[in-house]
Amino acid sequence: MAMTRTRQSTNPRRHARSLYRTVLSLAIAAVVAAWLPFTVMYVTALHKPPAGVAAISAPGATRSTTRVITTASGATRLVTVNGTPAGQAIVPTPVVTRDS
Amino acid sequence: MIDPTHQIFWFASRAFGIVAMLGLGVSVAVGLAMSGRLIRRPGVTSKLRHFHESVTLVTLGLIVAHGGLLLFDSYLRPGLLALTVPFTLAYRPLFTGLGIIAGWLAAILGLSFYARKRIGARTWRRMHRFTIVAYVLALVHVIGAGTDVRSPWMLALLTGLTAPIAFAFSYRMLPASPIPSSGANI
Repeated sequence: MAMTRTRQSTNPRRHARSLYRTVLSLAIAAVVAAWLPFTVMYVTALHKPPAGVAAISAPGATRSTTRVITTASGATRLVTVNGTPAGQAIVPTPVVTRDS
Repeated sequence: MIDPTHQIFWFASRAFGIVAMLGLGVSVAVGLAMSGRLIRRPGVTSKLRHFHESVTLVTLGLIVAHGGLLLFDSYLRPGLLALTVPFTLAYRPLFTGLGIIAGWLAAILGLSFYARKRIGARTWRRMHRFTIVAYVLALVHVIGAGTDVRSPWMLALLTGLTAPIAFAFSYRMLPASPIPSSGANI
């Protein structure tokens, strides 16, 4: 019995074949194991109410073209990045949100 | 009801990350159990070595899947550079960076097994001791960047993985006897 084991571990071809079988089985098991949390996350997101605008925005997804400045009188004003006053029709930038 | 189809790559990446953490934990625990001689039966040891090697290879594949799937995420939109170079990803750069280092460390230390004839068994063994660092960095990455860390099942998974690893590591590092033998027989 012990001799068989020694021969098994020293034969590289046999070892590779056995390793391939174990690795493939474990890989299948890992994909199946990953499927469970994936399904839970998907179903949870499916039944979640739409996220509010207060949710954290995507890094790099939004580009701010305006900023709020405080004037000498203390009033706040919306200006563009160039410093010119923002017009009435401000085009909203798309906000992509994720809450999980 | 909202359509979460645009998030499938994000979900898949997270799912593979969870299983990768599980794989890394099991691999490290088995490795420590073998090196610390917690299991001494010869038949079991060779089977465990085979299992350790297999789990490590699968874990490396899971780490690649965990990072690679993020390439297709329309929200994060990271480039290949941000996923491979630490601290360059816009999302929680410190913790994602530590995760990238953990991934590279796991890959280098895991695959160095196949180069041990070239680098020498002694050097390889010395290098392999740092695998615990990869696990610790991965743990910090999960706690800092993971979105599931507040879930009770995730906490249970991390505790269930870390406790046996901490035990096996302590058993491996501590001397067999608290009193060093002087060699003198009374």
